[in-house]
Amino acid sequence: MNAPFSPPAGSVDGLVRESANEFKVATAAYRDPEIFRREMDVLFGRGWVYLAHESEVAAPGDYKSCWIGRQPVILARDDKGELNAFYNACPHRGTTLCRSEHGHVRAFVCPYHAWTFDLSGKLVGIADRGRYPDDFPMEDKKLHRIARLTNFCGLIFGALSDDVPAFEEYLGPAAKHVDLWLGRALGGRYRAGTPHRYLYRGNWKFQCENVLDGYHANPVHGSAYRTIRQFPQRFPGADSSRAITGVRTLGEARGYTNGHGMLGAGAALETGNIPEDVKQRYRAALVERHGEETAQQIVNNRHLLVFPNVCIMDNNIRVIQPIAHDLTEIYSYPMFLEGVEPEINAARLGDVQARVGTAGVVNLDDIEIFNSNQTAISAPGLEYITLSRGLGKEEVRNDGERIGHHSDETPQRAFWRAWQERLSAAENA
Amino acid sequence: MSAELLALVHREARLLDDWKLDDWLALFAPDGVYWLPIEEGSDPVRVASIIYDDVQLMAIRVEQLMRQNRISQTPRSETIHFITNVEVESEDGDTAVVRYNLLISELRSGDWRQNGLGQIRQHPGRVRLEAVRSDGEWKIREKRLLLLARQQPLEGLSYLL
Repeated sequence: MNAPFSPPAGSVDGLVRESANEFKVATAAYRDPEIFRREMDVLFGRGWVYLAHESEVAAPGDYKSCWIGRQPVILARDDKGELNAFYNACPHRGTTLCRSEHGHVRAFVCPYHAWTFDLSGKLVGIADRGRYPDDFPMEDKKLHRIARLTNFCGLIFGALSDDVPAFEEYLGPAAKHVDLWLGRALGGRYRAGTPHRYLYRGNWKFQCENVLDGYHANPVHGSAYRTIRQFPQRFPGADSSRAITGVRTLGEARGYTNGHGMLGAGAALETGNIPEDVKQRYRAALVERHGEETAQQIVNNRHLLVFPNVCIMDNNIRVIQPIAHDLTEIYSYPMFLEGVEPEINAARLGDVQARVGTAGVVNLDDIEIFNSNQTAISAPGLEYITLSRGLGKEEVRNDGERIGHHSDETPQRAFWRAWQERLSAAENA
Repeated sequence: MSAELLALVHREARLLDDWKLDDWLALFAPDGVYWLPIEEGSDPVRVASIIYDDVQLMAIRVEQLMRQNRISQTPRSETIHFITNVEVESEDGDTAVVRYNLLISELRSGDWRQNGLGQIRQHPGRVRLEAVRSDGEWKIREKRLLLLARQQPLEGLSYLL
C-alpha cells in the first residue's frame, strides 16, 4: 500500500516549499517511516512536549505514565509536592517500572528484582544489598530524569534535551490564548478528567492541521450541523447560527513562528443543555472579572495548537499521540472548572463527549478524512499537497504572528514552516 | 427466564444489526439511557464515558446516521451482535435487570483496501439491561455496555453499538 515511488534521497530539506503564489508540503512528510523517525528524534526528542495537566498528579505519590514521542516517561509528584519526570526504566536491568496509565504510590518498586526508588527518583532499596561490592556506585542508579520540566499555568511540558528555549520564549505571543482559556475558570483552577481515547490509521499531522482548519467544517460536519438544527430544544440557536454550505466569514486563524496556531470562531460554541439562569450567572461573573469585551473573547470558541501535538480547546485538552507514520492515538481530556455551578461542568463534559469524544458526532468524521488521506497520498503524481489558502493575503505582525480569515491555511503554514526549520536544522547541524 | 425479556434482548440487537435505528430508539423508555462507561462504577455526570446518552442524544445519533449522510458511515458499518451468558438478575413485576455477554463484530466494506475499511473489528463487552414494563410492553430504561477495551483508544465508533 505504501509509496510506489522513492522517498527523498536522505535529506529532509525542501519538503516544505513556499513561493509567492503557493505553499506546498511533500506527501512524503506524511507517509515516509524514515521521516517519522526523524520527527520523533528531532521534534519530540529535542523540544517541548505536553505531558499532563497538573491536576492529573495533584497529590504527593500521584503519577502518570506519559509518552514523549515514542519514549515512555513517568511524571510523579514527590513528598515535597515537587514534580519529577523520569524515563520509565529501571537502571538495574532496564525493566519498565510503571505499567499503569496513572496511579498513586509511596515508592516505585521494580517488578523484576524489587529495586525501590522514592518519588524523587532516588534509589532507596536494593534487595540483599550485601552481595554487591561495598563501594558499588549507587548515585547513577537513581531514576534518570528527563532534561527539562515546566509547569506553565497548570500545563506541564517536558523535554528530553537541554537544548530547548525557555518555555515562555517557545510559546511566544501565542501565550495570550492560554490566558483567555484560563479566564473561563473565573480565577479558579482546571481539573483534567478521564480522557476520551480513540485512534485512526493516518499520520499525526493530519489531526494537527485539522484542529486549526476552518475551511473543512461544513463539508465534513454538515451531517452533525444539519442534525443538531433539528433539536432546537437541546441546542437553542443552533438552527440560525450556521450556514451549512459555503465558508464561515466570522472568526480568524493565526499562526506563530514556533509552529503554534490558533483557530477562533469569533463566537461562542453552542454546547446546549445549560439552564438559562446558570448560564447567565456564569456570564455575569465573567463580565464582572474581565469586562464585557474580554468576557466575550474568553467564551469565544478557540483552538490553540501548541506545537507539535497538544491542542487546548474550550472544554478539553486534546493530545495527538503519534504511534507510527500511519497510526495515531488521541486522548481528549475533559477539563472541569473548580468552583463553578455543577451544571456548567456537566455541560462541558456532555459537550466534549457527544461532539468530540470516543464516539463523537463530529470528530469521527474528521478521522474518516485522515484515514482516507493516508490512502490517497501514496498516489504517484501527488508528490505535494497545497496549503495556500490566504497566502499573501494575511496580516503579518512584527513578532511573527500572522492573522488570516477563519478558513485560511495560515496556522497550517506556520506549523509546517517550524517543522521544516527544526528538521533541517537538525540535519545540517 | 422470561421469554419476553429474552425477546427484548434479541430484538434490540437485531434492530441494530438491521440498521432499523428508529425502531431501535423506540425500544427505549422516555427516561431511557444508553451508556458505555470508561470507568466502571463511575458517576456519568462527572466522569467521561464513551457514550452517555438520554433519549434525545440517542435521537440525534439516529438522525445523523439514518438521514444526514454521515461521511464516516459512507460506506456504512455492518454489525453482528453475538449474545451469550444471559441471566435475569432480577424481575419484580414491571421492572427487570438482565445481564449478558456481548461480542460485536463490525466491518465497513466499501473499497476494502483503503485505510479504515475492510477490517473486521471485534468489541467484546458485558451488558446490563434494565427494563421497565409499561402498558404490558417491556422497554429499555438503561442499556449499559461495558466494553472490554473501554480504557484503550478505540477506532471508528461512528455507529451504534
